[in-house]
Amino acid sequence: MIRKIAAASYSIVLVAIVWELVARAGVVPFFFLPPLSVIARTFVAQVADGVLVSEAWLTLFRAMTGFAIAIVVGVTLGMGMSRFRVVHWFFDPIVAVALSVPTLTLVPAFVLWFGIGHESKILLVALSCVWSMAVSTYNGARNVDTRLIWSARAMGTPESKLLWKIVVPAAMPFIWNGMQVALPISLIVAFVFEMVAGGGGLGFQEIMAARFFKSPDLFAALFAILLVGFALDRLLRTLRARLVIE
Amino acid sequence: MTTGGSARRASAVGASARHALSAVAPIALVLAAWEAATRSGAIRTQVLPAFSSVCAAIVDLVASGELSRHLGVSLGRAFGGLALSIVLGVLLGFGMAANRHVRNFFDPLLSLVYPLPKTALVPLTMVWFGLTHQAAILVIFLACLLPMVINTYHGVRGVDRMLLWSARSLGTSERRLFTRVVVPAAMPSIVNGVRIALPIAFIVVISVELVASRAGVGNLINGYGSMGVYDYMFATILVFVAMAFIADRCLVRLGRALLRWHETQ
Repeated sequence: MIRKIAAASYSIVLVAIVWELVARAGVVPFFFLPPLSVIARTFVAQVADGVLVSEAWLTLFRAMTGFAIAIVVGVTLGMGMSRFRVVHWFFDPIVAVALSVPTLTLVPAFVLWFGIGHESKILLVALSCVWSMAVSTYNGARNVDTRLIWSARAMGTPESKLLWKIVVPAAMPFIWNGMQVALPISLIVAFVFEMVAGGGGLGFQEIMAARFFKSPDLFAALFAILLVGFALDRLLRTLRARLVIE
Repeated sequence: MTTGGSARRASAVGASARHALSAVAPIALVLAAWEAATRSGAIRTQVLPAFSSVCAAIVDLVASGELSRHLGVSLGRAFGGLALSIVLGVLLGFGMAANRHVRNFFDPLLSLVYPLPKTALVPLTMVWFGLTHQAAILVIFLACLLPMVINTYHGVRGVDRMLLWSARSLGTSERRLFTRVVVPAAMPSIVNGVRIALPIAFIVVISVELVASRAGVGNLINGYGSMGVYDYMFATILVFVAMAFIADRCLVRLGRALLRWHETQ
């Protein structure tokens, strides 16, 4: 057991030790790479006085609200595309373009349209995530075993219930795939928007630290971002394992 | 026989033309609605300039050479970082698949950085290299590295054992086994990795240039935005969006051409 853990993590420990030694020896300037121990102390202090925690909540609020909007709109759009030919005709090319396009180019436009508060960030997160939700929902709905639908119909399920009782549950694995693709996108957009337009949050915290060459603060924010990404990824995986029977 | 074939081909061409037309129509509709909404005054042109004035701005930007200069910077950074990540990512992926020690060393490190939204590295490279090309290329390289390593690794590990066994039993040397069997069999997965990495490169280059750069498309968009020259800002956005889309399509075509021999194609 101990051997296994050691084998699985020795490289991380090694990198951490080399980092500490190189930084302490003064091989690189302090503001390029502060020692890991200094960063850890900064991180703990900023978590304790609540700075990092409140900034993290701010970013999470923006990213998750936008993500939630994208799920609702994207699933509706995907279902609509699978159900109605005209919706599919209209949105298929638009989704194809939107999927391969970096929506972050729209940051200055969203600042113009919605200001620099929460709205612009939430809406750009939603716009960036909605397409992969729509595509995966559409693929899921198209992939539903037609025999399921036939037998439900044969047993007298009304059309209105067919969607919620058959199509949505059967498409669920695809929808979860879409969420796992969209989740990191929501974080990327939220962080970058905060870096460009300000208004608090971990992205803003990090870029301010960089502008004032406060390297320990920069790395502390970077680790907080890593933790947020890790926690959300785990949360989504756990939820999926709990909720979906595949 | 020949006339039947050419007639069928002609009708296939007709069908694909009709298909393309039906795919372009919704986008044309959106653009027409944009033009109508701004012309009629439903949307103020200070908020969204008319599509026609954005087109005029595109023409002007292209004619003055301003756009191609910044586009060249952005594309150079994006493809430079991407190319680096492909070379090193494929090497590392092969290394991890071939050697247990390499795998044991890099696997924990890669899973540690996996959940990091890679654009969070932008401020760090800004501190290290300032507002330079090196900083931009380094972030793009780091962001694209992971999908390249993972896809190469899984591609190599997923090579059908039967292929290896039969090649060995036919007397293929280990070196030829690598170049003739392992690399081609891993190719679809590697190409897929490039397709994942390409949009990442575009996202990151735009992020770097919005946050920390003195040149490039992101910088241009930001500059026009803060000066309030919105028709030029939207012109630049539109051109970059089109570039990203075209690059993705080209890559899909290239992938198909490279993998023509593969059974999934």
